[in-house]
Amino acid sequence: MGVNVKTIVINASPRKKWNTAEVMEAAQKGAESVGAETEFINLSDLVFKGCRSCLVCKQKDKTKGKCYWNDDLTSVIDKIFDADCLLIGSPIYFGEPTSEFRALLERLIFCVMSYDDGSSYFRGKVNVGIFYTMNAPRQFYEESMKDSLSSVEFLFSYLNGEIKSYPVCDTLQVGDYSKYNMGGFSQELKEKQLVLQYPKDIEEAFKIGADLSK
Amino acid sequence: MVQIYLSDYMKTIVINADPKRKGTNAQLMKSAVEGAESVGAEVKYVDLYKLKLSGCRVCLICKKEGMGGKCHWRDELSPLIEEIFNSDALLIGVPLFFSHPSSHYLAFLERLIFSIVSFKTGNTFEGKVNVGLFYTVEYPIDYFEKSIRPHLKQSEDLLKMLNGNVVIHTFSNISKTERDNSSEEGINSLKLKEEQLSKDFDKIFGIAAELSK
Repeated sequence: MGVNVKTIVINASPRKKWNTAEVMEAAQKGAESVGAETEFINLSDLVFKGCRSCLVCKQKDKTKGKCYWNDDLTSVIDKIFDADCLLIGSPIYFGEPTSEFRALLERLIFCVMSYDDGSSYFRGKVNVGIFYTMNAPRQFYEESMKDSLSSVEFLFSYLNGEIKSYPVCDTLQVGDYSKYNMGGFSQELKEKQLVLQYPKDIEEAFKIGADLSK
Repeated sequence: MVQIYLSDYMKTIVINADPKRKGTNAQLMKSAVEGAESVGAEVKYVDLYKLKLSGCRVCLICKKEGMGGKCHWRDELSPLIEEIFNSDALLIGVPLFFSHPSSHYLAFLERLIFSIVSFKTGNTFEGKVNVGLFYTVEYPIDYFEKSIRPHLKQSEDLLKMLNGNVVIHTFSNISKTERDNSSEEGINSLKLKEEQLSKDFDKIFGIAAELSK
């Protein structure tokens, strides 16, 4: 009766059946393997925008730590605050997580951020596992992206829990490269990575999902 | 025979990428409209947050043979992307949320640029659109330029793919809280900021005019 750990799993990719979705399904199974109650949400099913600067969450007479803008994202934000763990995955476009991931982050964190002293209004604790899937190779991620993406971890620290980021690199973007003008990539090399590295990433996602849902 | 010239005018698209339609960002962009009009450009003003749009959906139609240079996803953003590709100047004002351009701007940027990216040659866009990108920030501008701007370089560089001049300038935002602050210190600080803002209107007017020539 409500004693289970609750884990919200979010796929912030527009694709519901590709790498990010698979990684998040593995993370979800990991969470379930330690007994967590889980819910899987595809952000692309929801109609919402980022923070609208209505500033209701900063009004003196309003209960803090709640997003007052009403759209499809509002109940997701409530569910995250009510959970013990959030597992979220986003592909990287032009060096950044998707705009939908960013819109969620704006709404989720702005309403718990105090504009009096920068502290968190959030009194609970939500562990956060962040998974990035990208075409870029691991070395490029380590050298050129990891540092900038650390600001995402800082924002999630407003949820007071443990935070882990995991990059899934050099992913297979499409099943058949010959159908697209994507001559800059080699299907052969991508498929090699799919066999040699990707299964390890899926295993790692399972482990992180389990660890953060304990 | 009567010859009809459809449009000899320069076309400038002005976008307010702030959810607030009457904030500092919008006011600055109204001044950009006037600047572009002052040199005879035909101007279209868009409040980006009025549009129902999402970021790139990775349908990948733009990567199929002969389909590049156009965003094929149909929503309220696709006609705007087409207009931008057919324009001469694009002027965008965007607020910073958590040290990042607003998520709606990022969604717009994903769609605009991904449709002209070629995974083979880099860029399929053959037109030329000048770009003015204007940040409105709440922190001191010096701090922004030193500590935050460097992280935005990659997203700024994407705008070079429109093959025109790219001018980027940062302005200081006046928030509602600052306008409502009735303490003596608050009133003085607001006065200084308003003086600066009237100079900023001139500045953005000038940049908009230059880019719309």
